[in-house]
Amino acid sequence: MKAEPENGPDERREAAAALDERLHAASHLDERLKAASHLDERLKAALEPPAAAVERVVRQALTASPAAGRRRHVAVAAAGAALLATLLVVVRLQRPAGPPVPAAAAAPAAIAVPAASRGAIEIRSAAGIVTARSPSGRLWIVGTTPRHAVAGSIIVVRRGGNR
Amino acid sequence: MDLEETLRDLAPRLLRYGLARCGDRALAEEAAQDGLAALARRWRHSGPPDQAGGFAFAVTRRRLFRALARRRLLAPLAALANGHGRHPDPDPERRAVSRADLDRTLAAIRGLPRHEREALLLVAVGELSSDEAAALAGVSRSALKMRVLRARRRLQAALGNGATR
Repeated sequence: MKAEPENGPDERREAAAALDERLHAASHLDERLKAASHLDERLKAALEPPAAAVERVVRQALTASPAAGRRRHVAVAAAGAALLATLLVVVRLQRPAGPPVPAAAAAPAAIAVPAASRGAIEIRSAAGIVTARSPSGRLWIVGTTPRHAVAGSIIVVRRGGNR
Repeated sequence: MDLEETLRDLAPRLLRYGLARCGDRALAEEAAQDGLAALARRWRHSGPPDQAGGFAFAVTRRRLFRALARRRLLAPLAALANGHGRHPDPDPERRAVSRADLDRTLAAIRGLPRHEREALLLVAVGELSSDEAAALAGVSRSALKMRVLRARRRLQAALGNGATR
């Protein structure tokens, strides 16, 4: 509310009080700002670095090699690669051993059906005799073949036959 | 403003900020130098950043954070190596300054809550603008101002006689 000449005395007093309050608030704000700036100055003064340190930091930053950043990146990349290699080695060491290589692969002059898995029947032909071995280890003679097996021959094992 | 002028303007601010954060002039100098060197590299490589102050402060803050974390981790070993955990300070500059005032100020700063301390240091000691400090602290401008106000009140109360009310 603004104090105007045409206002009554009460209204003028009221307006004056409001103005006083505003002035009071403003002076408080001034004080707070002054206190804040004083505090900041005090903080800065207490923490002020020596001029030599400032000069040293600026000089070293200006003369810092541009390759320093690249060197840092290379070092980080090398460390990452080493970590990855270590992880791979650990994972490989922890993997279970694979199935044994079928002996048929090493058998001389044999027509062999390599075992697809541990439970497979192993059929091989050696010296003209075709044998089958069950997963439990039992061996059957299932037939004969020419002494020199032809590559690509198919041995048919029928149930109840080839005994 | 060219690179050297910018570095000269930022160096004392970064050093004050670092000292207030860690209380160790050597560590503050190292972190400030890292921040300024990163700024210089960036400046030469792709021109000045939008906010050079914010850039240098961000790098320095990160370095200080890591160094302090490392120090906390190794503190037990350092204490073992140095007997009572206090090692003699070989830096003559540090001995020359008024230790009493510095220690009192640092203790008062350490007594502030973490967020308020960070806001106050960025604004009052690091002389960053409210916008830059808010961006660094990851809060809104008004939240940062509120933190600074609270921190100033607490600090005035802690420092006592020297600060006007």
